Amino acid sequence: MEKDKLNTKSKITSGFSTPENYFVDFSDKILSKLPQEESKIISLKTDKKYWLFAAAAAVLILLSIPVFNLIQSNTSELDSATYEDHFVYHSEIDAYELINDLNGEDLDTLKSQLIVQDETLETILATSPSIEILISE
Amino acid sequence: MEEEKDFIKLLLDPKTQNEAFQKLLNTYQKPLYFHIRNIVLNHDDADDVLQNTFLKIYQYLKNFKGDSKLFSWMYRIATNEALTFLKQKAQRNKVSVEELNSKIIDNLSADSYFDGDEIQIKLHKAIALLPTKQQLVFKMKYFEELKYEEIASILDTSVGALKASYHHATKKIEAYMHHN
Repeated sequence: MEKDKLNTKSKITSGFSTPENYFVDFSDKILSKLPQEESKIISLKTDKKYWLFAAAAAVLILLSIPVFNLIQSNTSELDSATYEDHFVYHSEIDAYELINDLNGEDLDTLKSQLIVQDETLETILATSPSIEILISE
Repeated sequence: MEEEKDFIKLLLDPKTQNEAFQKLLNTYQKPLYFHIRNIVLNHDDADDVLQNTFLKIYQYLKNFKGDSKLFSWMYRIATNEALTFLKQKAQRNKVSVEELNSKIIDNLSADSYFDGDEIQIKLHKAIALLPTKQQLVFKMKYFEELKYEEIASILDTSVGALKASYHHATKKIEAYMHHN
């Protein structure tokens, strides 16, 4: 019966053992499995005003796109006739002032540049009634 | 106690955390391994459970309030992990925990990491017949040689109840050893 007593000097061990260097390897294994330091979380609250500015800027850019397109399309449609009309109706110099400012040399230059053929002149007179009024004046 | 508080601070500080955790590992990996091994019996299972235990300890360190000792807290995690592991393994094998333990003990002689002989196998068979709590108390007192106060803080029970539990367990085991 004495040999069956548990709390004697010759204690029965559990008999469990481990592989060689198990605890050295285990320590390394666990340390390699630990999560790395957590990346810094940037609070949206602290940068709230920057987000608002960015959002406002984005909205402004979006809204300005159609306006910009409109300006672009209008600009491209302006041709030489439009410029001419603009200067005719918005110029402070009238035809008489312009004629008075031209000297003999200017007139000669204009004459050489505006040589109108007889046939051309006849065609213009025939098709444009307002010219007749001008001539009679 | 003051010393433990300082050590917990080192464990919680990101600058000293890894170094402190390594110290914790070196101090407790061996006793916790044998605590787990005494419950799950098999080395490979003990290795898995020990890994989970330390990963959980690391994960939940920030929630450790210091109401109990770090030692008891870690032993509680290890005990819970080991018992949960056994239950899940038994469920997977569609057997009871008792049947599973009995099967593992029958195969102990073939285990590469079991150095025992017939006496040890007989002792494990006798322990396996006890209720779970008596098994835990007996293993922690007899094999791991923990103090009653330490076991009481781990299992959250009174020293008196533990002493009674250990006494009953010893008597049952001795009877089994004598008759088998």
